[in-house]
Amino acid sequence: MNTSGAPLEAFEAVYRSRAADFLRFALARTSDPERARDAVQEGFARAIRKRTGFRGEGSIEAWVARCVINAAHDLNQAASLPASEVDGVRAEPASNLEEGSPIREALQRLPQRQRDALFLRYYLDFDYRAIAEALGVEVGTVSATLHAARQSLANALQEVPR
Amino acid sequence: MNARSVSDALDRLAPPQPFAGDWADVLTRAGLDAVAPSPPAWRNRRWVLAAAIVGVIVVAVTAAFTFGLPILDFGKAQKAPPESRVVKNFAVLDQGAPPGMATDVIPNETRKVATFGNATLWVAPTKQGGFCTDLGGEGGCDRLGTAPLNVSWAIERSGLSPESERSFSGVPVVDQVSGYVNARWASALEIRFQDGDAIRPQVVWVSKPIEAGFFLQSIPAAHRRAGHLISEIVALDANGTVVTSDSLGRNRSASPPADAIVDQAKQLAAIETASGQVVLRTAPTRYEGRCAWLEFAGEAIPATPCLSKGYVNQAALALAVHTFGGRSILFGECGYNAVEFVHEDGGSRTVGCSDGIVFTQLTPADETGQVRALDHEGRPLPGSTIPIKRLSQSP
Repeated sequence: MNTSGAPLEAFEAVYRSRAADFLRFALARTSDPERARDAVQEGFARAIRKRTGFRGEGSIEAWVARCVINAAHDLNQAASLPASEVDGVRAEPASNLEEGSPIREALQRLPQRQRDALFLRYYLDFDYRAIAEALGVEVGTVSATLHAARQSLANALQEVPR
Repeated sequence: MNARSVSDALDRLAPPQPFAGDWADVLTRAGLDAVAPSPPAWRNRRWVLAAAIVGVIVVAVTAAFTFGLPILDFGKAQKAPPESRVVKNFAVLDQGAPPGMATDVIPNETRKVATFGNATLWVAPTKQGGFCTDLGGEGGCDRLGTAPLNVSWAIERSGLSPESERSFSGVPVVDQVSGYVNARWASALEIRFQDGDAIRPQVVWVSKPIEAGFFLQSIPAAHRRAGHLISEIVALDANGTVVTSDSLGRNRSASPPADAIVDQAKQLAAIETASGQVVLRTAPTRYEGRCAWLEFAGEAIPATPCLSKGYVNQAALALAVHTFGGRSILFGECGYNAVEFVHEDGGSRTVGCSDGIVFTQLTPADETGQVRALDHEGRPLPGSTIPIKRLSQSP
C-alpha cells in the first residue's frame, strides 16, 4: 500500500513510453531543440521531486506536463527570449516555422493557455480532463479553449475547423 | 494563404523526432543520485551505516508510554523555523497541484519528530487529519491520515540507472526501509525475511494529530543475500494480527487480497459463463478500508486496489476488460454514478456503479464502442471517454 505520491516506477514508465511526445510538446513551446530536451528532462525531474503531492486521482502524465510547461517557461525566460503581450496573457515565442509564416503569426497571437491546450491535445493526445489538470483549469473550459485555438488557426490558414 | 490543415501546421512546428531519452539524467536532476548506494553515491551508504550505528533519537519524549515505546507529544516537539528549507518545501507542495492532488499540508505546523543518524525527520499535519513527512528532502503525505502503512524501499544499485538494481531471482536486494505506520490500527511493525527470520524495527510513535509511528531500518548484510531477502513488512495490531502488509513482490496472487477480512466478504454480483461464474466480492479491511476482487475458476483477480478509509469512492475511473469463459467482462473502480457504453450505431447502454465499483458483461455492441462516466445527474463526464478496445487485457 502506498498513498504518498506516485512510485518512481510510474514516472519512469511514462518517460520510457512518452518522452518523444513530450519532446515534441516542449519543442513547440520553446522553438529550440536543445532547450526542448532540457525542458523534458527538467520537467520529469521536477515531477519526481514533487511526486509526494500526487496521490493518484489524476493523471501522472498531466502532472508531468505541468512540470514540463513550467520548466520550458523558466528556460525560455533564462534564454531572454522576446515576449509579447496578447490579451493580457504573457506569450512566449512558440514557433520554429519560418519567420512571417501565417501559422507562426497565428500561434503567436494565441493566448498562452489556448496554445498550451492545443499542444497538449495534439502532441500528447491528452483528453479534456488531462488538459484541465495540466493547465489547472476546469474541465468544462477546455473544450471552448481548444475550439477558440483551432478557430483562430483555421482562420489564419483559411481552413474550416474540424 | 494555402489550405494546409492545422494538423499539418503543428506537424511542421514540432515534427516527430527520435529521442532515446536519458533516465539517469532525470534522476540526477531530481536529486535521487544520492539515494543510490553505488560508488558515485557512497555518501548515502555512509548515511545508512550511520543510521544503523547511531539508531533513532526521539525528540522531546513525554512521560506517556504505549506499546512499550515512548510517544512523542507532537504539540511539544520543536517547530521548524518559518524560513527553513522544510517549511518552504511544504509551502510549495500544493502549488500547481492538479485538482484532487493537493495535500492541504499546514507548513507552519512542521515539527521535528526524530533524527535517524544525521538526518532529521520533519512532520507537518494536513487540514484533513493527515500529515506530510520530510526526511533529508525526501518524503510523502497521507493527507487523510488513514493509510495503515507506507514503506519506502531503498534498493541496492551498482549504478544510477534502475537497471543496475541488485536482485536475486527477480527479488530486489533492499538495504534500507523507512516509512510510517498508522497508530489508529497498528501497534507494531515486523520485517519478515525469506528464511523465516523477522525483526521489529524501532518505531517513533507520535501523538495526535499525527497519530502515526515512524521508522527507518537498515537491513543487515545477512539479509541482502539470496534466499535471505525481505519478503514483506507487516503492521500488527495489539493482538498480533496482521492489519496490512507491503512487499516488493509483483507476482499476481490467486488468493483474495491479504488485507481483506475474508470471512466478512460479501458477494456483490455474479455473471454466468460457459466455464462457471465470475463473482465480484468485497470485504472490509482492519483499517476501515475496503478490498474488491473477482473470483473465477478458483482464482482471485484484483478488481480495485484495497483502499484506505476516506480514499474509497473518490472520483476515479480505472477499468479493465478480461475474458472469462468466452465472455468479455468489464470491471474496475468507478467513483461516479454510472458508466455509459456508447455504440458505433449511435445506441448506448448505462450500467450503474455500486459501492465505487462497476462490473458488467459486455455486449458485442459495447465491445466496439466506447465507455464514459456519468455524474449523478446523468451527464457524461468530459474527458472520460475510453475506447473499449484500449481496456482489453489478457485473462
